[in-house]
Order: sequence, then C-alpha cells, then structure tokens
Amino acid sequence: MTASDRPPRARLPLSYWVVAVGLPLIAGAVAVALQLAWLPQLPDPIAIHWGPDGPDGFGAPWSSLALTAGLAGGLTAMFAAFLATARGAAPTVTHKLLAVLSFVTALFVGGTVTASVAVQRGLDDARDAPGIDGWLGLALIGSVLVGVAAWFVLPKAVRPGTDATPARPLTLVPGERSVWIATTRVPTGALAAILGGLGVVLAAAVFAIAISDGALWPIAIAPLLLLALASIATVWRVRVDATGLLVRSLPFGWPRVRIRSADIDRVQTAHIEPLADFGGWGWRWAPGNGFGVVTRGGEAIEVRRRDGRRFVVTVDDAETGAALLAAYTASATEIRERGPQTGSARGNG
Amino acid sequence: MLIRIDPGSGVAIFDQIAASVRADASRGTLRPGDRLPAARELAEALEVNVHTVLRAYQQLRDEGLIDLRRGRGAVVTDAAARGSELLDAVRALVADARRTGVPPQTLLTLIREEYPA
Repeated sequence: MTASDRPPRARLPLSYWVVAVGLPLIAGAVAVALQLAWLPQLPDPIAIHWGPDGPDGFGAPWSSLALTAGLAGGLTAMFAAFLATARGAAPTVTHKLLAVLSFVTALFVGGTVTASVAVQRGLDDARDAPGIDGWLGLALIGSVLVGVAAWFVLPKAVRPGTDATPARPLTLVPGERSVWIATTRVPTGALAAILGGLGVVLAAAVFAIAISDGALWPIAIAPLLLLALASIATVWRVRVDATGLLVRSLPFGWPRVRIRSADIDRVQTAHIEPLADFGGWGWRWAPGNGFGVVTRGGEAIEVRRRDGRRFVVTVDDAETGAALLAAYTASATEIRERGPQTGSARGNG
Repeated sequence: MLIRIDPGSGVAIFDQIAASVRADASRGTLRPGDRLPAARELAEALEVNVHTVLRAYQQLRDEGLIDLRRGRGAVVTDAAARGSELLDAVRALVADARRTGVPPQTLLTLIREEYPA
C-alpha cells in the first residue's frame, strides 16, 4: 500500500457536524440549564438511581447536573472523534449513522436525566420520588423519532467503494491450475489498541463483579465474547483457486467465507477505509457494502455475486488475487453458458 | 503468492511450483520473513500430492531461498531481497537498451556473452 492510492480526504458537509456536535451540545446545555433552574426546588439528597422498588441510589443535588454535562460533553467528543477519523469518501452511511447516533444519544441522556430531576421538584424526601419508567420510554421514543427525522434531513450519503476498478483477468492456458494464497492480518499497532481496550473492559467487568459481591457475574461474558471476537478476526488466509474465493480465519478456520467462481458476477479491486466503509475492523457488515473482512485500510478484493451481494477482503497484492479470480470467473461463466448446449442437447431433442 | 501450474506444459509440477515462488520473490511479492502456505494447504488448493509441494519446498531450501523449520513452516530468507534487486537492475538495463535503440536479440546476446552457461 502506498500513500498515492489513498483517495483524498473528503470534507464532511457542515450539516453533519451540526447534527453530530452542535445539536447534541445544545441539547446538553438545555438539560443543564433546566436542572440548574430547578435546583432550589430539589430535595437533598436527590434520587439518582431507580431499582424495581423505586429509588435506590441517592446523591447530592448537583450530581445529576455534573452527570448531564459530563455525558453530553464526553459522548459528543467521542462521536466527533470517530467522525473525524473515519477517512475516505464522505459522507458514507457510516458517517451519517455516527452523526445521528450522537444526536440521539445526547437527547436520550439529557431527556432521561432531566426527567428524573423534574419528578423530584417540590419533594421533601427523595425516597418518595415516583418511578420514571414512563419518562424513560418517552425519552427513548422521542429521541429515536428526532433521529429518524435528522436522518432524512441530512444530505444523502454517498455510496462507498465507488473507486473500485475492475480486475484485469490473468490469461490462463487451458487446464491451468493456478492458486493465489495470501495472509492478511490486523496491524500490530491496531491490535495493541484493541487489546488495550479489551483490558479496560475486563477491568471494568471485574470491578463491577467485585463491588456487587458477584451478583453481576454475567457481565464477565462481555469481555470474554469480545476476546473471542478479536481472536477470530485478527489473522485471515485468503485463497483463490479454480473453485473460487476462500477466506478463512486463522487459527480455527472459522468463520470462513467461500464464494464459488460460478456464483461470481464481477471481481474488482477497491480501496477500503475501515471506519468510513465498514465502521471498524474485523468481520464486518455495513449497509450498502455487504460483508467484509477488514484487517486494515488500503487495497482490497471486492466480489459481487450474481445475486447482487457484495463481499470485500482487504489484502496485500489484491490486484494479483483479483486477476486470478476474474480469470476463473470468466472460464466458469463460459462453461455455464456453453454447458447446457453440449451437455443436454440430446435430452432436449 | 501466485503459484501457476500448467499440467500440460511437460514441466514437472514441483519445478513449476518452485519457479512460481522464485518469480514471486523476484517480483517483490514475497519478502524476507514471509511464510509460505503450509504444504498440505497448497497441495489441496492445487489438487496435487502433498509430496509434490514438499519436493518443491526442498528444492527452494537447497537454493537458499527459504528456510524449512519444524513447527514454523517455510520462511522466506534474505535471498529473496537480492532477487528483487536483480529485477530492478534488469528493468534499468532494458529501459537503457530501449532508449538507445538496442534490439532485444542484441541485448540477449550481450548477456549471454557476459554470462555463458
């Protein structure tokens, strides 16, 4: 992969930043302002957590203010960072989803925390606070509806992978049995970041289990599941032979993707940006992009099946692999079109 | 890594496998430290006997292009880098000949005189 085959970094339209950063910050500010105005009417302490039997967690009156400001600021910053690092042709569906999610999250968090404060106005004892399930549902439905509206107001997302170039089929001699084999892996730096993130999740899970006296033990499933996902998505073997394309995860050989050359419509090479095109690394699915094995940014083999489904695998020297696959696809098509005439001519007559 | 096999060419399959690996090394597709696919996997993909692939690997080891180690498989040695340097030199030579109007036959004759078999 060289620097030159990277498409120039496209700028996101301003409206995306408005939805992803501007509106969430405004929503957070409104929530903080409302809670600030209600501060004199609140009991001390206030309820900050509800269990099945009503309020079961309490804190200082300003704590929900800090929670709202921190969550609105922190989550918005996180989404903004994701958007800024999702390079490539912009805006893709992934950019759009991130922007809308940022707004929906801010609305939901701001709405629920503000509602939980609102129901406690005028109370002397926070233990009498009414349930907030209704508000929770209302905030969820409301923010999702606003999110859907924002989705349709935002400019149309561009289709990713428009920079794909058709593979030039290798010239095969009749009877040739050639094979292309390559290994593709997540770069060491990215792997270290993933393992670091996993460590944080594991520590958080252990902490949660410890302070709950083991009651929260099912939480341990989360880091274990993530570890399993990371281990099967790190190294992949890509193979092109006469039967078609085979992509399988090492060391277990599962998951695997097999696409027969007879089922292939078109083979292309493409430039993939993991975040912009697939929203991340590993074994991915993205709307409009189909399934993909994405270990890194850069060159990739892109296959479109006869039924229209797409599959992408990022791999070095993708051009050679795509060329051989295109050659086998062409000969499979030939057999397919010629086959019935010679094979079943007598049967038809 | 591209392995091209033409069963009808009359050249032994293991020779063709070895030649493909050599070509990949000189093209720069295989770099020192890269691992060749397991003989069993390559044999399955090429629909040949595993001993055919092993024989090709042994030949490449004898040439010093790969290291065969138990448990680590076939690893490309530093010799592969020399191959790509040679290819660069050949490309420069051909470009030079083209620019100065030296026909391919003359260039080949010059090489043969310098490097008799």
